[in-house]
Amino acid sequence: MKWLTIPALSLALLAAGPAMMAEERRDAPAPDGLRPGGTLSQELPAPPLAGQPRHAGREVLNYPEQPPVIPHGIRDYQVDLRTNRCLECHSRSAAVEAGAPMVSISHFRDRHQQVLAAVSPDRYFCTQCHVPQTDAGPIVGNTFLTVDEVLREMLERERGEP
Amino acid sequence: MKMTRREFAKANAAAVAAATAGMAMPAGASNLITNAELTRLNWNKAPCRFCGVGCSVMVATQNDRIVATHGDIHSEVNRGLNCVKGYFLSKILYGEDRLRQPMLRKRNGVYDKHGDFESVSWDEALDLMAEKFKAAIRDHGPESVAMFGSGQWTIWEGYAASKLFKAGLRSNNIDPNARHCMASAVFAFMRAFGSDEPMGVYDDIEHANAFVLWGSNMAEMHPILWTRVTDRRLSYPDTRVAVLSTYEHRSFDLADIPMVMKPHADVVILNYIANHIIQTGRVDRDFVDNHTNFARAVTNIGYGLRADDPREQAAENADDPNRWTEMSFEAFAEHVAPFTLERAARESGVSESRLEQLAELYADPDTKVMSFWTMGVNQHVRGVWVNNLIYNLHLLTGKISEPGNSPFSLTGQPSACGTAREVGTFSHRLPADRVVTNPEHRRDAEEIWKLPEGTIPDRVGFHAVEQSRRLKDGDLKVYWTQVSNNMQAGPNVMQEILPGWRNPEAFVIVSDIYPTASAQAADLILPAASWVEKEGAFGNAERRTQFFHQLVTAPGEARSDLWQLVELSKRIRVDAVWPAELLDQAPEYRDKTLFELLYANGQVDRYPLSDMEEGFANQESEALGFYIQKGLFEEYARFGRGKGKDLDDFDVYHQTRGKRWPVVDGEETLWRYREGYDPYVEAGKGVQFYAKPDDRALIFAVPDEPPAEAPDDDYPYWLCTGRVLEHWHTGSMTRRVPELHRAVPDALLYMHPEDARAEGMRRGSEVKVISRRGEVRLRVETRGRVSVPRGLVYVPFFDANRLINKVVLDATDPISKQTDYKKCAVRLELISLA
Amino acid sequence: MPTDALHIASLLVHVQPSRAPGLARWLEGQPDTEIRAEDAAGKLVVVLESQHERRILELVDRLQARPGVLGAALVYHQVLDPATADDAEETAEPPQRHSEGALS
Repeated sequence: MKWLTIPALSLALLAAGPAMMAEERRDAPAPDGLRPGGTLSQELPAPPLAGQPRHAGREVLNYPEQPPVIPHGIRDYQVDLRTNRCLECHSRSAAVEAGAPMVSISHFRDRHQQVLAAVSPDRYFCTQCHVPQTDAGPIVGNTFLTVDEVLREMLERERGEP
Repeated sequence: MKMTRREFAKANAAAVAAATAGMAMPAGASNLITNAELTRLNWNKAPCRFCGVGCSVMVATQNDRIVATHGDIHSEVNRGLNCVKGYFLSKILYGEDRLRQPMLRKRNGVYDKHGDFESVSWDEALDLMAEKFKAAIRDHGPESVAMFGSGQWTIWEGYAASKLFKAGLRSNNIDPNARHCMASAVFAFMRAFGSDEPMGVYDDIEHANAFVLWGSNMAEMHPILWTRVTDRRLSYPDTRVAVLSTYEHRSFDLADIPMVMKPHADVVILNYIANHIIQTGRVDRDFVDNHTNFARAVTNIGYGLRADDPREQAAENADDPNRWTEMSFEAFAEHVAPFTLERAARESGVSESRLEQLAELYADPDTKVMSFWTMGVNQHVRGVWVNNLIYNLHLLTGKISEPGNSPFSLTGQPSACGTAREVGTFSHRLPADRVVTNPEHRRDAEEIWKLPEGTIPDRVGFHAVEQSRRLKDGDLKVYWTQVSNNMQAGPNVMQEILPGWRNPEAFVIVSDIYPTASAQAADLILPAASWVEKEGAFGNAERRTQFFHQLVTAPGEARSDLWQLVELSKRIRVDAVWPAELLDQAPEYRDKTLFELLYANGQVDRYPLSDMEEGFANQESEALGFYIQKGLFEEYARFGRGKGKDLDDFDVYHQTRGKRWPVVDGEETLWRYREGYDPYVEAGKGVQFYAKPDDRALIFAVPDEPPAEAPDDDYPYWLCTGRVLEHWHTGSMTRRVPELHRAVPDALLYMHPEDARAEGMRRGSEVKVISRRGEVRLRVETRGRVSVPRGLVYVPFFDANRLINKVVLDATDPISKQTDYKKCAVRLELISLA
Repeated sequence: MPTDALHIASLLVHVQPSRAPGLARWLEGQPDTEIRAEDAAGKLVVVLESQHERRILELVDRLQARPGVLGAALVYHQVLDPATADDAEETAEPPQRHSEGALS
């Protein structure tokens, strides 16, 4: 294949020009979001690679059909046409011995809601729904309330409590 | 009341099942519920807020809050499944920093481009916007204002915005972020078939026995469709999956024919396959003779760069790249003859045996083959060509418009098809495949909109990349973006986008739900309502139109984009923005507002509030006194009815899990252009590409032309950018969900371990990625979900703190004007080894 | 398989209306099973609690084999900690919804 070659110099000349003048007015003050406000033109240092959480344990679910997150590392787990490393521990037959939670029975239904003897093929790639967790702290908080919390708030209001 | 956790769970279980079946739970049905009214969850359907697959979810609300979501088992798309993003939809609206009030840059109490953001009232914000729009149009003409919208607009929002710009303000400078995503697909559909969007449907997956992924990582970007492909592959072991990309990704886990090719080699491979089909005598001559024509595309078409770029000046057809001349089958065969297997293997780096296996999936008449593609093909300086080259294979073999034989262009946004494409919010389009450059099409629109002839400008407006350039050059004075984040998603941020937005000549308005990178660069920020905080409609990649009700109230003073558009229209009078000649044609409009001209026009305002389904709020309609969503939809639907783009009646969609257009006599259409499936095909024709004047689809001869930029001694690596499963596009929603953020907290630089070693780097090193345009600091990852070949690095763009688009070149496909985010040249510099 | 879990599930059963009364009687005879709603079209909402996931699957299988049953689908599945299942839902402590025993 032939490549178009452009002298680097001509591009550098194109790029320079009004850069200096523009620089000072770029970083206008702004509210913080996922990125600190007023930093758009700057190069922020990259945080170190996130690590595994220190206290790996099963997480509380937010609502019943939320897929549980994976409380352990899965680096180099092979899940492909030949093998499924996740099911080596989480399958119906292996779970007891492995001490791992068994795949939910919801996974034994196929697309037509028929119950199967094994995990439905459409659920084969586990990480499409179940994701591992690093120790990264939140960038901004989330005010989602579980149904229990919403009900408690309502009950408190009903009783005239603050 | 007293209720145990067990009882509560059981009551909830029953309520979910009842809601799924559409059954009412009788109040006394449970002797355990002591306060049924209080504990009953309200479950309603809604399409997912994320990608173009269009899964349906059930949303539980309680006390005006979303408390749970789960996959909708009644949806044919996803049958109860969601991907991890979909399962966390419940949380996307609850980021702590939701925007709740308009904010304006001010100094000494008045607007100042260099001021600090202060909260202002909606009246102050909208009055100032109206003043800015009027002043710009008065002093600089309608081409001095522009809007950047989205494939995440609901159908009526996109329609209302398009109408406001193209008819009200008389500017075609409105473009959606779908330009970055789908434009190449749109142009190729129009070139080959004369009508946008796929002929097939997702049902093809359950009929195909081969799948080919051309530059698509469906496992991460279209996970629920991937569950259907996986299901097919694992349930029918003879099924074959071929995956072609410039690096290995998760879709390779299912691949029987995995192929990592050199960037830009797809043109050669596709031409080789066409040659293989011809050389081995597997052309379906009957199909080709009756249903196709051959065309030679103009070549040397440039790269959509600024006109003074030497690469543009060297391109003789850069000005008019979307042309072709007729040719014969024999000439076409001659054109592809030099694309031999040996050449394809040499130039792509893929082995001859795999390429031949791939070619056979298309050539073998007994194999039903489905082609999928997304950004690897569309975000390509020859994206339109590559789309056409894929159609070539299906047309040469007649493997099209029937169950299982399906070239299928996937989409990235929930309404890229429904809004951006079908409504026609592109700078060159009008609803239902019409274009602004066609006088008859403009006249159709003016008639439906009850406007005088000449209202709609006849020139194509500024597309996405052009808008950035025009802002920088000072030509655009007012710029409004909704549901998009171009400061993060657009190309060449440092040289083209940021300087334009901060240009003192420009007043930039951003409507969003969170303070995105774009909002941070704006002058006025408007707090928006999102998803089920308003009544909406999306159209997915298989032509399925899906509706949702408003289920909760937006926080604070946040308002829907539709409300914002309509409120602005009330503040601008027709005579402030229309020229005298046009006003003379329609003097009755002179004293009206754009609101009266466009929305209270006897059509959009004709449906009373009593038409709304009981039990649902609808903030905009309640404020206006008429059912505006229904009015906009029904007016819009007139464009497509009888034209092969028919939509059903408004009310039907609230009751169904969507319908695939054309919907004729209440029946949806699965396979277009095929007799027996598509009501538009005339009896006895079998196949009819009826959107083309002679009923024939076009097969295109295109050559191989080089990319706009390639690695050299100074910038020795290819940079490819893209997405990850856990985050959606610029991450403004998903990165505020704790579980998704913890799963993938930062964008990383994926590189080959040997390249890292050669550069003196290792996993975890902090490095600078530098191009001729800008630089970004990133941590090196040499393992993980993406495995790149030597000489190529990959960086996802979801991370606002790692704006990789500072580095990306703003070269586009010159026909579609869609940016090539997959290919530019960079070098790496070590900051710290780690 | 862990048994220190309490599974709550709901099924949606569709039966020929003429067979609905018979099916309801049969269901009433099943342990830890309740009919929470039914309609004239033959749709029943069945709620089940069990210490074993297997029981839920078995019930689906057996339902599908009953005369007149057109379909039985699992709609909802939640796992509770038996130790706290009978605590009041409205207590001030944060609710515990552990995922023991299930990757739902």
